[in-house]
Amino acid sequence: MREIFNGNFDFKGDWGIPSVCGLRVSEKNGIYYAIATELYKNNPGSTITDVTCSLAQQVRNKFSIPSGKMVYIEHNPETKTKLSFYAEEYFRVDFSEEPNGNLSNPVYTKITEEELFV
Amino acid sequence: MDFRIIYPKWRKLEEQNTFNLPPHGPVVMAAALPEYVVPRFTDENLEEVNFDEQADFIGISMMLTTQVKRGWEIADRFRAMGKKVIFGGISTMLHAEETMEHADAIFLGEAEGKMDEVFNDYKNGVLKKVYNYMYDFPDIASIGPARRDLLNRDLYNHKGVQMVDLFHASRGCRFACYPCAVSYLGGRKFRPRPVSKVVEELETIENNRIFIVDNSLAQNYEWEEELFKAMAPLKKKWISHPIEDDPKLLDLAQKAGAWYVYQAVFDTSDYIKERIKRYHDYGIGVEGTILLGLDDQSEDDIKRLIDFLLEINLDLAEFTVLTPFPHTKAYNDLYRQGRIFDTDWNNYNAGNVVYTPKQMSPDKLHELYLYAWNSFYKEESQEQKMFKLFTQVMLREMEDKTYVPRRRDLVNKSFGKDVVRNVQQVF
Repeated sequence: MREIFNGNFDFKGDWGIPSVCGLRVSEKNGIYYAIATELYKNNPGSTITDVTCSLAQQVRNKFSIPSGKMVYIEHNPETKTKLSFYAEEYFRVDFSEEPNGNLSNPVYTKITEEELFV
Repeated sequence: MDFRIIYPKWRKLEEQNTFNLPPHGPVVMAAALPEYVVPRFTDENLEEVNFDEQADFIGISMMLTTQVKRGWEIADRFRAMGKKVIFGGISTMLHAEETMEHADAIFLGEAEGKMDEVFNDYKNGVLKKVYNYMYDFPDIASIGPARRDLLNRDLYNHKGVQMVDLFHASRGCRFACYPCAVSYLGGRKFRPRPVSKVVEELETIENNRIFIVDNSLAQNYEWEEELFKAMAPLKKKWISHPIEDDPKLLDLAQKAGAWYVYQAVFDTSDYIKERIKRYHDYGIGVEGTILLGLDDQSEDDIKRLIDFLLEINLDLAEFTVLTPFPHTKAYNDLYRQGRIFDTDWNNYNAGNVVYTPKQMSPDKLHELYLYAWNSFYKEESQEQKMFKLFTQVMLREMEDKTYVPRRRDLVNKSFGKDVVRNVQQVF
């Protein structure tokens, strides 16, 4: 696995709102794995899920990931609260690709940490 | 230029007594209009919209998701008559793309300092489809007193008793709570207004009873302390969302006129029990806001929670069903999990179940929601509990000589409509 990026990623949220998420991009056998992590209070703008398609597109453009070669995952990190809705979660997101290359129709599948790179 | 501001009606929760409060957003926006604009305001909850009345430009102000479809209908009708329509307000921001289909323009963000551009564009016939000022916040000190003079105050009166006036002392919220969209709307930075400006505006309000609508006052200790100290001489009585859980601030809040607070009650912990007790110890009432349908709630949990609410002597309780409003974590989570089955925004009034709960069926959750209202108010009705809180505030007002008796000319009116008083002649 070749790590390409691991850090905070600035992106444009809804209506251009400056937003930030955690991002890890790695590559294995020509497949790029992009894991976007929600930063909650440390993200001043849109959540990663508010703008799933746009963010995935921005990641793809930033790292020049070829069409059809990206596995895109949304990650809600462990927040150490007792509230179940802030538990750690991963969702693989599958998109339709429109003729102009834009991503649309996100379909979410909940996965475990072990299934991240499968 | 005549600018007609319309606040669309919505269906109220059937389980709750309806009190129509004077809207806040439209009158705050109106304060930012250029001087040559003459605004007029219609709250459709209380008055019919007159589509034939002269107006150059129509503004539709929407606060709630459950208002948007009605707002779109109104806009469609005005636009069919050739009028230009602009939308603004919280729900316009939450439903921006859908609203654009019914608008000549939508305004996103906060109005101060931005209205000259909008009205110049209108005059010049070059109105933009979107005025995107999301997160382009104005100087918080520039926010002036709201245009409450636009409100027909007689309509916000129930049997001679004036409803509270709404007021805001800050914008933004550093919290980003699961069901709430405020951090999306106003940013995750708490932006308190200068206390001198707050006092200046409070002094202009011809009402001794205020509802401070800020999400939470408990965001900046020093500011909160300064605020309460400055408010005390005004002798207003007020309702708010949570106050810092601190003896010194609770004491200052009480002296500043805190009447009762809205406090979320999520569980049956000792912490909540003590929190409510501390408010009461300082003479501050508590209306619990209870959200039902969270993933970690079973049927038994909800029933236990309701028993707990009665044990801790809440003054009032408001029950709502978790509703996944757009741009909230609740929406994102439930959407990703494919659990939202109803996207008719008219049903997003927090009394309907629009998603599949984790531990029960939607019908069961709705049944528990009704059970919650009925159980909590079984021994003492909402009217009786409200009357007790009302008595508390009247006594305090009498003590500090600010009590204003009810208006005799409106005792037979409730929100502009005639009421039949069932008074028996006994002599």
